[in-house]
Amino acid sequence: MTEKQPPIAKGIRPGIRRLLGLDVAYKDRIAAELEDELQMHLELRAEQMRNMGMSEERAMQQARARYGPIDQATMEIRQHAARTEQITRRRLTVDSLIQDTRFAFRTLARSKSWTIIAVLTLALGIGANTAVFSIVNDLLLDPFKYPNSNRLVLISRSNERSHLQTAPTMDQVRAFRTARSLEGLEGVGSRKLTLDTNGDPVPAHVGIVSATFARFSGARVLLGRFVLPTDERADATPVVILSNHIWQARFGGARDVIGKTLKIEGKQFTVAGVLNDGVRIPSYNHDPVDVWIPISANDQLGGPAIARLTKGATLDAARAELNALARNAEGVDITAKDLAFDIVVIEPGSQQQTRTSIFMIAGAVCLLLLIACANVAHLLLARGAARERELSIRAALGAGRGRIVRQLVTESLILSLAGCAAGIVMGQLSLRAIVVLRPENLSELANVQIDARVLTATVALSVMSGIAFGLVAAFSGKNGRSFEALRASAGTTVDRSRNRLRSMLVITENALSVVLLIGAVLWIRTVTNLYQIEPGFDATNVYAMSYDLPTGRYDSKESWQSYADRLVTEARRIRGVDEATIAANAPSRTGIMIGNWVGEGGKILKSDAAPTLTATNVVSSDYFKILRMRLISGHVFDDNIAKNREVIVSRSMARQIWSDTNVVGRRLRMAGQTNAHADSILWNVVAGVAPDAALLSLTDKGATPGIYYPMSNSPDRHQTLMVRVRGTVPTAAFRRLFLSIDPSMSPPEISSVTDLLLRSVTTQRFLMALLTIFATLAVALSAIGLYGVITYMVSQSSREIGVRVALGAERLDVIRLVLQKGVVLSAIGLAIGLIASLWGARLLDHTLYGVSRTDPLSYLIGASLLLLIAIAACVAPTVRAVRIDPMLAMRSE
Amino acid sequence: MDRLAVLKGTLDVLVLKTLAWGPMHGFEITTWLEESSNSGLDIEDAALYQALRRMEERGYVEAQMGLTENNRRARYYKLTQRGQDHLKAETARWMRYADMLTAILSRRAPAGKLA
Repeated sequence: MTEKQPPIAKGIRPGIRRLLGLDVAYKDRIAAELEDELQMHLELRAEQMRNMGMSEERAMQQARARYGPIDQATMEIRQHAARTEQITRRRLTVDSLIQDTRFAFRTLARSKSWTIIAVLTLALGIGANTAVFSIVNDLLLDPFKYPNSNRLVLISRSNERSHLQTAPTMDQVRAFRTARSLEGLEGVGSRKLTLDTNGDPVPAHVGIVSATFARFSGARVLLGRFVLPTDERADATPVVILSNHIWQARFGGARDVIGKTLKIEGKQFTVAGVLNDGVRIPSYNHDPVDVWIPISANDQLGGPAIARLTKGATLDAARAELNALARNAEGVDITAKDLAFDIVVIEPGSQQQTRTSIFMIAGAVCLLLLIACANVAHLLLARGAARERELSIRAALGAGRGRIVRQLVTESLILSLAGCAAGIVMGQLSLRAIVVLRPENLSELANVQIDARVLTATVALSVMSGIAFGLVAAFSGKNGRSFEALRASAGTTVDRSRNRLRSMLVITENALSVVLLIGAVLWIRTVTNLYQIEPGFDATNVYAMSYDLPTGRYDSKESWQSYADRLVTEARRIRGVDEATIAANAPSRTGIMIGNWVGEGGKILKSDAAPTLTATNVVSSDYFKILRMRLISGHVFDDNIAKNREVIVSRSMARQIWSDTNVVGRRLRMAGQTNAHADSILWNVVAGVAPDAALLSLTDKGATPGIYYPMSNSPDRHQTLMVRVRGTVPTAAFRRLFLSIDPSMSPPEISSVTDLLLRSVTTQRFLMALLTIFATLAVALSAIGLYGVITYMVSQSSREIGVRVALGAERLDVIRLVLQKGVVLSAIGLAIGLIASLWGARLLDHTLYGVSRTDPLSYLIGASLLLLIAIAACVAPTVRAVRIDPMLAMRSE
Repeated sequence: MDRLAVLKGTLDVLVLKTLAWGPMHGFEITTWLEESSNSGLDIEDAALYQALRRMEERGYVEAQMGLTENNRRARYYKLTQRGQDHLKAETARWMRYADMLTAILSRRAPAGKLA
């Protein structure tokens, strides 16, 4: 048996031999041995018989007879041997795995700083990814956390021309309930209303839902019941379902709360049950819902309806079916162009622009992870070179290739898992930080947690990358395959494949960093532009307070007007308030109208390409004064006399209809209204032309035509008090003011108009900050990678440099030599990165403002930054190279 | 006298005892046992080899290839420390058992009962 083994394996224990794969098949060996043994036994027995005088034949016969059931025994022994082999092998495998792991820990612990750097690098990439993908999941993929959320859809009506979306009517909703492609349809609305449980009215977030909502959303009834279909009837007693936190806070969690009453907007509701917290609905803000009330039959839905597609139904199929049903329900000829409505079935999630931006961030963080992995690969390669010797010795001692690979993979796996654990901790911390620093628009981030799915994916990713790294480390370089490494002069064998790999890694890192850098620069410029937009009015020190006059107490135009008058008079008396006025809305919060305008003697204001939106506001005469907007022509409204449908139009509107701003006295009306009223009622008269201003949002200035209606003519329930103050804003005084006029109304929040304007920008700014952080990290990591490679190259070529210096090379030449290597690598990476950026920038299209996606300045800045940092990374190795003493270099190995 | 079949469970301890005299190969073990029992024991060879393999697994014996006097290659079994301990324990157990058995079976019947 021993002849079959290579000489080197003779002294090694059989068990280890078996494991190292140096052994011939165990089972066969056992069988052969057994046969030999039994054969010998037989012969000896026969011999014994012969010695006792039997003949040869008889002797053999007897011998065999004495055996017993030898065949069966043989078989059993063989089976037994096979089983034993399995168990032993398994045990040895486990043993060797444990051994590998222990050894890996020891090796990693020996080079502490290396290990720490590697783990931190991985933690960085993984942590950033965990945080960002939790956000992505929370905002975009699973915003409501209902069961079966991958089939959730929102249903709303969309005007074909304006692309605006409005809520479906109740008729339509009733019709939709029969749709086959939907398996659950809930009307969901959300409002901020006044809640009064104990005489102190406060604003509360009210969810208005249909009866089956609880089941649809997976919410749990903690006490009592949820809304019933009978509650939706117009004659039913109004019921309200509390949320858990309101139940605890306002009613002390008392179980006898069922049947108690409270008031919402002054109207009485009876408590019928309690629902658990954390149930989300689509709404403008994402505050938690405080109480739930049923949609009554006549209610307009406050927003899109939520539904779930049946298994296998597609969005298109649902869309077609719903439109057919809607057509029947409306009974209106909706082929008439201007009224054309389409049922839009979309997936829930944030607004389009935010959605795109968030995906961008997700992409960026993936790039960061790639760079981190490249750096870790660098580190592994560097270490691999250092361990050549050790691995060669192990190979010489009989460790098979497989064993060595397994050892290296185990090390990398441990490294990755450590990085994963650290990364998860980092990710959690980052999420906390993001939650604290989040911009207002993204208030839904308040509850973001690390998602279980994200966590699983992270761990799986770490495991896979760990294995990948190990394999890379194992199969690059010779790793014991050649005995040359054992020789003392190991340093001179430059491992070409390793170097190539490293160079490629550096180039990749640089390319990815460039992409991130350019993206960050583009976004920084976008945000800067956004901040510099001229809104068209002077909003310094102007504050706005918006409120809705509650139904029940204020139900007539006169009541609205008198409230407004009283409020504004009292407001002007507050110390610090210079001017005050009432309007329907503050700028950037104005209402909109959809449709075409027809001007007398002018063009029809419409456009086929873009939606025909007009920004509207209802104002009194002081509005323009408070915002320092000087009319271009005409005059402001007269607050006391409601003249015949006077309006003030914005400059762009005047120009688009009449190509002129001198249009006082001209008439205009909305086009395309098919009711049969007499024209005179619909015509508006231009009283003045105002300059363009940011009415809808900061970026809209001038583009959207604007029209102002007089407050005296059409006061509204929804009002905004706008004031210009001197010094600090007297918040308490305003609060007192509102309470003094109507104690049962909760005083509204005070916002500065500038803040309102900038609200849309804060999201961009936040995301930009994130991207900048990632880009910075990426560049830093790349620099470290480059530094490592150049240092290594310098140490490798120290001999060559020494020779050159000895032969008369100048210091400058040495510098040039080293820098060249580094710069060339960066330049290649840079070039690739630039091309990638150009190609990928189209993804940024919707998120940029004021810069084109191929803005040369941004690209230039990005490229320069990278080159600068690359050169900086090369400085230390260059200095070291210059200091090389030619004598030492040539002598050492 | 008739040959007695080896009682179940005792083969192991017999083999171990045999090996206490030194390493032997399979045939030697059989021969020794037969001689010690004056051919009283009937040992199945197959059973013997099974027992040897079993004890090898349990670590009571160690196997190694060696050369017989006739220069033939044979598998020699050696008693290990563990085997020795096991032998001691089992011997004690069997002795006690045999004593108790003897005591019970050789009790005189009380008067009036069995003859």
